[in-house]
Amino acid sequence: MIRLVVHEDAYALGVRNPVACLVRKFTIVKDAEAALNHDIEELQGLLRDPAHLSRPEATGFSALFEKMGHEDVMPAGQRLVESFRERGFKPINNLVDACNIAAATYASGIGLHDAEDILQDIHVRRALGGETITPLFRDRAKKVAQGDLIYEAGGRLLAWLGRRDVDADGFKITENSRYALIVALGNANTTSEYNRHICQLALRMLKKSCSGVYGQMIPTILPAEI
Amino acid sequence: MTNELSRSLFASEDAALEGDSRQLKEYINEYSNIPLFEPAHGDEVLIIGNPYRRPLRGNDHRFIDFGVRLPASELSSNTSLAANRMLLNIYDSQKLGLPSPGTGSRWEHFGVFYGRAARLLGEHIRPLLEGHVFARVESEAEAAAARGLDADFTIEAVASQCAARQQRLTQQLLSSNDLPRQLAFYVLQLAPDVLFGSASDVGLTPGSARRGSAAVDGSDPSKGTAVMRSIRHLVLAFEASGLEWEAHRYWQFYLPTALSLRNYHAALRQDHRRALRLAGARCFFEVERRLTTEALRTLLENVADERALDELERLAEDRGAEMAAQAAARSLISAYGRHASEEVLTGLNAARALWESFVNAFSVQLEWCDGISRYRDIARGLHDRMERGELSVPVESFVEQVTERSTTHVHDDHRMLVIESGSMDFWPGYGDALHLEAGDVAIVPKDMLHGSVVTSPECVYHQPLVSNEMFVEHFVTPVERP
Repeated sequence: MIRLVVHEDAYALGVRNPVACLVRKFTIVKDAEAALNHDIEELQGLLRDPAHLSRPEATGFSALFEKMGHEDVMPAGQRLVESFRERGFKPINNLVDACNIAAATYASGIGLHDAEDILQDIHVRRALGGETITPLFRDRAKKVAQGDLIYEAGGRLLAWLGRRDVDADGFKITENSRYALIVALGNANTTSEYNRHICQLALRMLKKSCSGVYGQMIPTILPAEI
Repeated sequence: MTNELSRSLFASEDAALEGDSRQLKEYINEYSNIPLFEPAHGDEVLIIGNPYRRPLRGNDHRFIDFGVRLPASELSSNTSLAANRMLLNIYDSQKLGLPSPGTGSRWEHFGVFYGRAARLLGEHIRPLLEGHVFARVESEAEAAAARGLDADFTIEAVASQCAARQQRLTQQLLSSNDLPRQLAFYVLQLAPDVLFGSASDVGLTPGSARRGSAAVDGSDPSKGTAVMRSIRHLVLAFEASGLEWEAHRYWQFYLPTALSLRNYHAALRQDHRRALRLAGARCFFEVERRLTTEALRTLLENVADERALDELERLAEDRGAEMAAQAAARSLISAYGRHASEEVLTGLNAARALWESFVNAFSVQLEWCDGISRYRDIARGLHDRMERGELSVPVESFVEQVTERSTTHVHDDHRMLVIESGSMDFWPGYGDALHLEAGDVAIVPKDMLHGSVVTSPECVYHQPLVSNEMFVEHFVTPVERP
C-alpha cells in the first residue's frame, strides 16, 4: 500500500485534504469524445454560470498561490474553465478528457500521471530549491524554485506548482499507459469529499469507454499522523 | 561450521540476487501476468474444474519488496501470501498432472502451466521467494539448533508441546458457532501440497492434475502407495466435511501460513545442501501428521461414518512413518556428528515454527470469522464516532464496477469496511458470503484472509485505517489483551 503524505509546509499552504487516486483496468482510446458528448454539453452549460469560478472551493486556489508568493498566477482549474468557455472542449483521449471534464466541473486543477513506476509513498511538500524536473515533452531538466509546491514519489518529482504548472515528462500518459494517478491537491476550502468527488467523476467518465475501470484512493496522511 | 557454511551460502546468493533485483522484479511481474494466474473473476470464488488456474494479485506484486526476509511473526502478511501462492505454483509445476478426460480445452491450460514461460520464470524467481518466506525462519531455527540440545530430547519436547497447542485449537473449533463451516475451512488448509499431480508415475493417470495421488484409488489404502497412505487422513477429512478433493478448488481460501508450512517441505527438496534439514523437518511433519489425524478423529466424531472414524483412529495409532523418520535422522546424526545434529534440529525447529505460525494464524482467523457479528457491532459504534468527528483516521477508498472480484488477500493493518453506495458479497474466510449494502460497516483485522465481489453496477466503499491501539481498545476483550 502506498500513501499520499502531506508535509507540514504544504499543509500550511492549504493542502489540507488532498486525494490521490490510482486508476487501472483501462486502455487509452483516442477519439472517444462521442461517448462523452452529453457530459461535455452538460459541462458547457455549467460553465456558463458566471458564479462557477467564484465559489470558495475555486477561489481557494488563488489564495494558495498567493501564500507561495505568486499573486498574479491564474490557477490551473480556472485556466481550464476559461479555455473551455472561450475555445470549447478539446478532446485528447478518454483518460485526459475524463480528467478535464472532472477538473472543469469542480473548477480544480488536478494532476494526471502514468503510475507504472509510482511504487512508493507520494510526498507533497514545498521545494527546498535543489530539486529538478523535466517538463512534459522536454528533454532538459529545470530547477524548481524554492518554496514552490511539489509532489514526488521515490525521489522523483511528479509535478511542480508555482509560477507555472509543470508535470514530469517521465510520468506522462501515453497510449500504452496501463496505470494512472489522478491527484486532486485541493486547497484550504476543499474538503476531502470534494476532492474525492473529482476523482470519482473522472472515473465515471472513463467508465463510458472502459467498463471495468478500477479506482483506488490511497490513504492521505496529514502532518499530525506522519 | 554449519552456521558459517549457511551464512556464506546466503551471502553469495544475496549478492547475486541483489544485482538482479530489478530483473527479478520484472520476472515476477511477467510471471504474475501469465493468463492462468490473472486475478480471480467474478464467478471464481471457488476454482472449479481447472486445476491449472491459480489467481494471483499481480498488481500487489508491483509494490512488494520480495528481497525482505520475513520473520515467523509476519508469515500471515500479504507479501507472504503472494510469495507462497507463487511458490505453490512453481512446486506444482515440477509434478505431473494430466487434465481430466472430457475437458478438451484444459490441454491448452496444461500447455501454459508447463510452458517455457511459466517454468523458466518460475525457476528464476523461486530462490528469491524462498528467501523471502523461509530464510529468516531458518536462521532463527539455526540459532536454536546451535544451542546443542539432544535431537531425541528435542523431538519429544516438540511433540508434547505441539500436542497441547493442537488440542487447544481442536477445542476452539469444537466450540465454534458454525462447526461444519469452520471445520471445512480448517481441513482445506491441510492439503494444498498434495492435491495436484504427482512426482511419481501416478502423474500419468488421467485426471491426476485434479485429484493428485488420490486419482489412482484413494478408497483402498491397503493397495495404495506410501504417498497415498500418507494422505489418507486428509482424503477422509475432505469427504466427511463435504469438501471436494480437487486441486485447487479452494485456492482462494488457503491461509498464507498454511501455504508456508506446506511449501517448506518442497523448498527443502529443491536444495540438496539442506538435505539434513529435510530429515529434521520430516521428523516434525510426521509428528504433525499424527497430531492432525488425532484432531480430525475428534473433530469428525459427529459427521464422519463409523468406518472412517475407525480408519482415522488406526492411522493415528500407526507410528511407523514417524519412527522411520526419526530413525533416519538418528542415523545421519550418528554418521556425521554435530554438523548433522545442528542441521537436523534446524529443519525440525523451522518446520515447528511454521506450524505454530499456521495454528496461531488459523486460531485468530477463526475467532474473527466466528465472531463476525460482534466485530460488526463494535465497528458500527466506531464508525458512528468517526462520523461525529470524535475520531479521525486515514481512509482508503475504492470505486469498483460490477463483478469486480477482489482476489482473497490480507491487509497489513486493521481496516474498517464502510459501503457508501452499491453492494458486494464479502467472504471473511471459507463459506457463504456476507452481503453488504450501502450503509453497512464491518472490520477486517490485520492479516485476516478475505475477499469480495461487487454485485451492483458500481460500488463505492471506504476503508478507514484503524491503529493498533484503537483496535485493541475497541475489539479486544481485556482477557485477550497482550
